[in-house]
Amino acid sequence: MKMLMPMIALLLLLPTRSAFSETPPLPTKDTPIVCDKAARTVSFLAQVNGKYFYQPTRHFAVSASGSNGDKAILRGLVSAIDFHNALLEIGAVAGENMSPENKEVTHVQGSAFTVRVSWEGADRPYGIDEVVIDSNKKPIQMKFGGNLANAKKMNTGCLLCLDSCPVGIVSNSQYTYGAIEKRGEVEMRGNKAVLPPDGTTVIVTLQLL
Amino acid sequence: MKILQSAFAGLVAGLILSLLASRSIWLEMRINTGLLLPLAAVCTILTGFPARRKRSCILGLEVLLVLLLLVTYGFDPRALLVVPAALFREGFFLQACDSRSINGILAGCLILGNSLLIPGPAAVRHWRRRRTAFGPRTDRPDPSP
Repeated sequence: MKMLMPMIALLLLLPTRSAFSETPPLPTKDTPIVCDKAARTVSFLAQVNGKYFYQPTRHFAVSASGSNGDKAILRGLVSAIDFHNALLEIGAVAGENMSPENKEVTHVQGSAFTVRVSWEGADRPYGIDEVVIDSNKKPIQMKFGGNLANAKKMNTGCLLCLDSCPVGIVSNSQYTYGAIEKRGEVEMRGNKAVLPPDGTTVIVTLQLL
Repeated sequence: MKILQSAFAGLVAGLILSLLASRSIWLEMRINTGLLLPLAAVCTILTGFPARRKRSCILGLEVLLVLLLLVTYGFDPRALLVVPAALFREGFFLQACDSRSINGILAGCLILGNSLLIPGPAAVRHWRRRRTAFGPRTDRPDPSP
């Protein structure tokens, strides 16, 4: 009887535990972007572009359909418009403070996110500071700039940029525009020691802070 | 045959140019540097480059490409398998292909291009005929005692 009571208690607890440990839906080729309103996360599919393990870039993830599709560490399999709408769906607020005129002196504002990258066979999800090498070793601060009108107009496909951007939906507020390609304040590249090989499909997850 | 040799010379020259262009981050972020590959190939086909000394010219370009790759990326085999394939993929808009397939295409181009540099039987016959017509060289002193 003494042994039976804890076992009954454990059986009663099991359904509750499984309800808590239920994993959120993962993006697939048919549904390349998914939102989890409860966890306040947006996840989308992307492919690794190994070229930027060896040379610097200012793009973390760009939609493959955009004109900058091959200029990023990750080639996003989702459009900039769908990505923007998914972020609004989880309650993120766009900063909308960047413009082509102020881009070089303004840090992007808006809701902040933690960004993680995972893939099949990875032992754990890796944070953006682990998968991107910043030559200054400063932490990357991704913020929801918004910029949907500019994104539609320019059709660059920019999803996540590595310096504050008037076109990218989300960008790094640590640096202003031009820090990477114009003023050479910093160099950013993919971390080949962490990321999987060129062409591997990964899941990028943004969690609202 | 001449068109294929020109196309191969153009591909090698284009790869050199696109590697150099992609070293500038400003340029790399603004243009499709891989496009220099097909553009160079079209230019060399149209101009018939190299017009003379085809073999030595193409071999010289290949040596230059190897040196450039080694100076830029060192002896990192992963970089050598990824970067040229990425430039080729961008230049020819083959985004649907993975880097293994692109490397297969590149290897095929390299084998075909270099096989074009091997002199054919007609060229060897012509070279032998010329040698016979001019006879052995007489401008050097006879080394035999």
